[in-house]
Parts: sequence; C-alpha cells; structure tokens
Amino acid sequence: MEPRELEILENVSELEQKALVSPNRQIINRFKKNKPAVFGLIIVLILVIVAIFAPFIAPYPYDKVNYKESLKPPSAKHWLGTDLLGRDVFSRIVYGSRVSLEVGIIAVAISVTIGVTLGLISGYFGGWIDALIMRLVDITYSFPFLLFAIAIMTILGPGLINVFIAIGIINWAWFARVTRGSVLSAKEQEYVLAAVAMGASPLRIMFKHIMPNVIAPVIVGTALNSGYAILAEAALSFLGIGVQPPYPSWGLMLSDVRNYITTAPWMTIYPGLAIALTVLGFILLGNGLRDAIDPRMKI
Amino acid sequence: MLLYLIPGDPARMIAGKNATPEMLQAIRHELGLDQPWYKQYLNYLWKIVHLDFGNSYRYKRPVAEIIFDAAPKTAQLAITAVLIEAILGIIAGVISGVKRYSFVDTLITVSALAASAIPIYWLGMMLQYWFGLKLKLLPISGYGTPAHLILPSIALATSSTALVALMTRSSFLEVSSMDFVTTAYAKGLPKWRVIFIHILRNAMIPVVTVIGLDLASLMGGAVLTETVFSWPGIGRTIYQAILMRDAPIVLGGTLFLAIVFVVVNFIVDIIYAILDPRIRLEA
Repeated sequence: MEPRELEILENVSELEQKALVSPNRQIINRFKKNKPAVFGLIIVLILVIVAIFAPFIAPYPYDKVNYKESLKPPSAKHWLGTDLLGRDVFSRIVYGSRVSLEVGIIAVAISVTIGVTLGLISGYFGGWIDALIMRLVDITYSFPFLLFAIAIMTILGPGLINVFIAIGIINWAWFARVTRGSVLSAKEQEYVLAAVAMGASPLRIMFKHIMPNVIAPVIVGTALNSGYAILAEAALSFLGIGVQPPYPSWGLMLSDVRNYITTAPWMTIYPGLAIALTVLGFILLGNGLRDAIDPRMKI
Repeated sequence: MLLYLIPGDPARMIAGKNATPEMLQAIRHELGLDQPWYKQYLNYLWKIVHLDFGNSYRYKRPVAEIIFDAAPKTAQLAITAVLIEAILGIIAGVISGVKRYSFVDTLITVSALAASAIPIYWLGMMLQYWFGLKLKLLPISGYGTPAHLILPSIALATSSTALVALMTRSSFLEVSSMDFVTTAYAKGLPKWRVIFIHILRNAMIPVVTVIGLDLASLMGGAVLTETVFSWPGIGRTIYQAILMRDAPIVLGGTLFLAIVFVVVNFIVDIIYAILDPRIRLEA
C-alpha cells in the first residue's frame, strides 16, 4: 500500500476512536504510541527519583575528600572513578541531579509566572500596553541569551538562587509571546463575546475563559524550556559564575577538570553525558506532548 | 546601564591592592566616575554617537579597537559554523523529508534532537580529546592556521545544524502536501525536479530565517566555544571583561553585538524577498 493510503486508514481508525474515547484518553494513547516521547518521560522520571533519593543512591557523600584515592579510574569501588580531590564521581553526578532538577522547576516557574501573566495582559488589552510588553519581549530576544545571562549573573553575583533568577527573567519572553498568540485567537471566539455581553469582568474573562486555551502550549513549553534551562545552568556553572563549589553541579564538574582530560577522561565524559541525556529527555518529552496534544501547534 | 550596579570598584581593580585613597580618587576623576550617574550616562551616549566606546580600564586601549580586533576572529568562526549548519542541516533535512517515516528519517530526527541537547563546551572537549589527543589529527586549541578552525566550528555548528535539519524537515513536509506539488507530479515532472525546484524553494523560506537569526546568536553564543578552544574572539573578550569588571568593553561589546543582530536581520529580510516575491507586494 502507498504511504498516503495508510495515512488515510489511520485517520479513519482515529475517527472511530474519537467516538468512543474521551479527549484526554486520546492524548494519552497518542503519547504512548510515540516511543521517543516515552523514552523522554522515563529519563525525566529517573532524574526526579535520583534527585529525591540521592543520599540513598550515592555510595559516598558528594564532598568526601580522600587524597589517597585522587584521580582513580573507574573501578568496582568507584564506579565512575574519582576526581582531583578523590571525591567519587558517581556520587557527585547523583547529587548534581538535584541542581538540574531545581533549575528545571524553579527557573521555569519564574518564567511561566511572568511570561503568562504579561502575555495574558498584552493579548487581552492590546493597544499601548501590548506594544510596550512586546517591545520588552523584542529587547529580551535581541540579546544573545548566554551573554545576557552572564551580565545578570555578574550583577547579582554567583550562586544557585541567582541562577534561577537570571534564567527565569530571560526566558519569560518566550512564554509571553506564545501566551499572547493563544489569547489573540481565543479572544475572537463567540463564547468570549458571550461572556463580555453578559457583563463578566476582564479578570474573570481572562482567567476563566481565555486561560484554558493557553494551558496546552504552556505545558509543552515548560517541558522544552526545562531542558534548555538545565543546559543554561550547566553553561553558567561551567564558566564559573553559576553554582559554587563544593556543591556539585554537572557544569561545574566539567569546568574543574578541563585541564585533566588527558590524564583522567572519566571526569569529563560522565557529567557531560548526564547533562546531554537529561536535556534530551526533556526535549523528547516536550515534543511528544506537543504531538499528542496538537501536532499543528507552532512551537 | 546595568553595569554601574555591578559590585566592585573599577578604580581599585586598576590601581591594585596597595593604592592610597589619593591615587584612587585621581583614577576615578580621570575615568569620570566621580560625576553623578546621569552625567556619566549622558556622556557615554554622546560618545557612542561618535563611535567612541571609551577606553578599556584594564588594557588602556580604545574599546572600539579591541572589539574590531576580536570581531573578525569571531566572524570567521561564526561564518564557518553557519556554512556547516546550512549545508549539512539542509541536506539532512531534505533526506529526512523525502524518506519520511523511514529508518533514515527516524535516525536523522533522533540524532538531531540529541545534538541539540549536547552542551557545546562538552562536545568541544570531547573533540579535543579524540581528534587532538588520541588521533593527533588537529590542533587542540589556539588561533592561526585553517586547521585550528575545524574543531571549534564543528563544536559551534552542531546544535544549530540539528535545528536547521529539523526546521527543513518540517517545512519540507508542510510544502509537500500542498496542491501545487500534486499538480507538478500530475504534469509528469521528474521527482528530482519537483523536490528541488518546487518544494525546496518554498520550504527554504523559514529555514533562511533560522539560519540568519542563528548567525547573530552565534556571534555572542560563541563564548563557550571560544573559552574551550582559547579562540581570541569577541565572546571570550566580553566574558573576560565581565570577570575583570572592565565595563567599557562589556558595554561596547554588547552594543556591537546588538548592532550586528539588527544588520543581519535586515539582510535576512532582503533574502526573504528574493526567495518569496509575494513579500514585496505586501511591503
């Protein structure tokens, strides 16, 4: 059979399904069929479990210094070897997952709160408020992301909380733009007009009638942005202006060992792999959610 | 403007730890730091209009000179990276689009997603390890011969190549389902002609935007690559200046990059109009 015909057959069976299955169930079913998406979800779940139970999973404390065991290659005692100070690399990666998860949740929560609020206001009221907020978005976009983050971190000073703030207040622009787009199209719907005609207050219309349209793209964006926020935190820590030692962040672990790649490659390979896998997990999850909720969504 | 808030006193950085208060005062006066902030700001704007970014606190050289020294090196790196991403990305995207839902398509899509998840600097270090140390094929870091350019530009291009490939694929698929493509096949045109003349030309429009915007972000985003490979470009200069609290370089450099961004945007708009004549009618 031609691929075209197969596609049509698929569509027919989907139509039949729709008659029997609730919309939410359909989304779950479509998600389950998407193998990369399920793989992404598994990675994210593993990250969450490892971060929560880090003290039970890690064989050593993350800051246990042991000079006798310095720069040992992977072995039965130290699965992924030890670093300069003889600290167990595996344990440090396990604890490092906490930093990544926190960034993925808190930094993105800041972006979502600012972005969705400003996006709702901008799309709903229009006029000069819209123009003002959208110029702010343009300005935020016109700076190279990393340089902007470096500048903010220089002002705020290094530290994990400042990393949340820096990443959070750069990424909001993305959510504001997406939210505004959804609001603009939702505003034209008849039920919003009906609500206006019945005399509902702007706040009620915004949160009760328009907000639900915004949720789908924001959920997808949250998953994707968590991935990029984790990548950004690692980059800042790598440059030495993010998380400070001795607390292990994957990016920081990489910057410590830049000059030892010849003698101790295990110190470089595994933290990098941890970053790449985690970020990939979030991206696959985000893409999978988008395809399951609405494949035509432009994100 | 934000930089005046940065903790740390530039005068102290210049004079060193043992400076007397009189020396510090003299330096502050020379730099104009003893004036009220609005005067400093107006002075700065006035100079910018005359293309004078002031002098670097640390190197005692005009900032414009430092930026113009570093800019071509970053441009070299960024342009090589853009060439790689444009060529490889479009080829991979088209293959993926033509053979959609095949094994090759899945392979390209998944590896593109994986590539966008890899930290640039880690990739750089891995490239240094394998091609520089193990195989001894290419220089590990530094600036000079064309061979020095290869590893950093690959590291810099990887995630953008992935982005271009994914963009080309989705744009290709969108255009392939349009009526004029069906018409072209119905007329009996050979498949390659439909793919390259009919689909690709239309599918390229969003891809050109992505590549154009990427060139601008590469100019700044090269910080990590330049740091790993000791490439003396603008990203590394700005990064070092921030660590040294050399405000004139940071301000001048950021402003310079913002100008580059605007210019590149403008050029992309022109290319857009050439690719898609409909845009001229609307404008």
